[in-house]
Amino acid sequence: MRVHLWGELGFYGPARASRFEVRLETELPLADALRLIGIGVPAADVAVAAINGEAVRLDDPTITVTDGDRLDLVPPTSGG
Amino acid sequence: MAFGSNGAILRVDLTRGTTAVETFDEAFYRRYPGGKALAAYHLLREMPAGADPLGPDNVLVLAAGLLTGAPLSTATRFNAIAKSPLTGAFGESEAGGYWGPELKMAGFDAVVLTGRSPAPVWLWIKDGVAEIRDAADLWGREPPFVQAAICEAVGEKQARVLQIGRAGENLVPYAMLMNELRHYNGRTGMGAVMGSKNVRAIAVKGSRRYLALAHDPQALGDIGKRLSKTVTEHPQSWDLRTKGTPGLTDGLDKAGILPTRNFRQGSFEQVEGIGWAAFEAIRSGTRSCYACAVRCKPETAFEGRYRVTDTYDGPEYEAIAGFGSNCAIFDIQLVARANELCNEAGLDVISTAGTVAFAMECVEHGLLGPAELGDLDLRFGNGEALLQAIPLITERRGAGALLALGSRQMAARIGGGSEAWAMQVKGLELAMHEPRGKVGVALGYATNEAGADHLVGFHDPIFVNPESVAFKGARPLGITEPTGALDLGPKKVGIWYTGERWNSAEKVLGLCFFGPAPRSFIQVEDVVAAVRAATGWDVTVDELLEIGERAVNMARVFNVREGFSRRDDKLPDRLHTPLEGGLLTGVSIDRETFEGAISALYTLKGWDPATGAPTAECLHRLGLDWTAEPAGVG
Repeated sequence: MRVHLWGELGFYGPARASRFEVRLETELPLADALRLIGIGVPAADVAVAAINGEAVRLDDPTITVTDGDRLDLVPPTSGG
Repeated sequence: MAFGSNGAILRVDLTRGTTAVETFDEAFYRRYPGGKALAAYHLLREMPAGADPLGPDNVLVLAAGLLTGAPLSTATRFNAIAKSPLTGAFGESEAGGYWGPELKMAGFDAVVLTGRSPAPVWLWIKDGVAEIRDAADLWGREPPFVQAAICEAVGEKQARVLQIGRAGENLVPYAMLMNELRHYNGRTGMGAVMGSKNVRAIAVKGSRRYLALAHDPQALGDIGKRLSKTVTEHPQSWDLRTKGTPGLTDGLDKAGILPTRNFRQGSFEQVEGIGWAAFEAIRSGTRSCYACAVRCKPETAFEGRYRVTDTYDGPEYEAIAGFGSNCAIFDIQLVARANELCNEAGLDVISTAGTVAFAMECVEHGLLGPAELGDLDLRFGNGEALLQAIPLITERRGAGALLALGSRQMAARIGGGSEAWAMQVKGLELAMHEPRGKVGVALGYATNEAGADHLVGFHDPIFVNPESVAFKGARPLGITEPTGALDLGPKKVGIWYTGERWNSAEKVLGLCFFGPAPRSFIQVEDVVAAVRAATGWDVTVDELLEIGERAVNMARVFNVREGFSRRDDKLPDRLHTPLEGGLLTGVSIDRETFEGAISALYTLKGWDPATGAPTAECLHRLGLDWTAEPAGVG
């Protein structure tokens, strides 16, 4: 699964990486997948989550991911 | 006693060719400590109502913040304030870099420019002494030449040079100021005001150090050292240091709030062409402002389809979205070249891009064509036409004469309903932040005295979740209850009121938007501690909020004097119609709800809901009774 942590969420990536790939052996609920791959992104700091470009809720237990998916996590971006 | 300031203002009468020093006591500074407050004070006192923004009666004030020059990350800013030639209202623009800190070290907290020089001049300020010099050989020259020539003339390699470009000389109403070529007072046409006074540049050099001005230099120095170590330990400042503002583009696109095709859509189907990965491929380095560990300034240099050097800054996010998605151009190299052309000319990239996007939509509607634009084929997506347009705007030549008016005046000339998609407030083009997805920003766009600026309050998404890093940073300001990004109820109005006062305080203190919480890493209590160490004053958060509020009210009084009222605090019609693309497709700002929020905000501020003017009680509370006196007393 390809993971993109946008903006400040890259701070929580492995070795502060914003883009990385992880191997998922099986289809998993999103929350379990995040735990499994050890992304410490606080859910409170995610404004938008998207799987393959479709917005999803991080706390929706029906959402699953599988190897080959792309996960985008976007922070509550402020001004600049 | 040292209180963080020089206590001295440099006055320059350009008509007479004289300079003078004016001093103020500590009690004055506690009310008007620097930056926006200090500058607005002089503008209100000295500019007669109804002055021509490009005439000798306008007053241009350049004021460093209270903390500007302190060894404290992000304490680098100064404000340029005058009546704006673009809006006719309170004109205001800040920049970081090195000029503001150097001014403080040269013995002055502000420079007040009055009158008009009969011939081009530049100013040289060194250690408390100022002189006016002939600029005949500098007028018309490119900024790097001017900077180098001045440094050579004064024999100081590191004289800090603030200057206008050709656009300022030609009085383009959205011309900017630049210092050290890379730091810009972009908004509201302060470059045109300086050009109208026949001043090409102001160079400063000082041998003082800020800590010599501080009440408790040891404590202030310790705060600065501690904070500089935390930059990479906080997610927001880590992000700014790692990517700078170009890192914003993709996230805003995903969230459906990336201005696209003149704010019709909130997402750009070809965002990869201007997103972070594309930018990273042309990034050549990063730079810093004075003593700032955030180091967020991006540089680009490449030879590809275009040649761009690292002489100037950016492109920052505003230029990337402005020339990119908002003009439907998906080529980061072309965007970088457009950015470079604007910087070289001394044009504000936001107003330039917003005006071009407006023109592109007029072309699409058949309201502009060869009769008005000649062979300039300004269709959405035509980057080559954009590159051709910028020099024409700079010289006000051909189609550039029309484009140089800015979108509001263009719409007035073009008609045909084009006002609805002239994306401006009070004549100032919207910054590249889509307010339909963060409606507090819409409140700021509508009510801000200078027009549609994005740095006058907090952006809504950070208040959605009370456990987020940013929300926690806002708690010491008294913000405790979360609210949705699209909410316009009392909670949002209250948050906006607090945010506006806090951001205004930042502009008084000289702190960059990318320093203090909730946007970044310097916590509210650190700001209070830094001000206490610098001044010896027992300030509180409430006093800082009041200082910010006082500055906002001075700007509002200025606008009232100039004939502005509630009717001018309105959004372009487009924002009341649905977004046509992206995650927030279909979302609009309900007109009635929005007007209700403005009334509530006015009431909270102590302003008359009918007129938008501060009440006598409000002005008295803030110690601004004197603003009822006529201006122009000198």
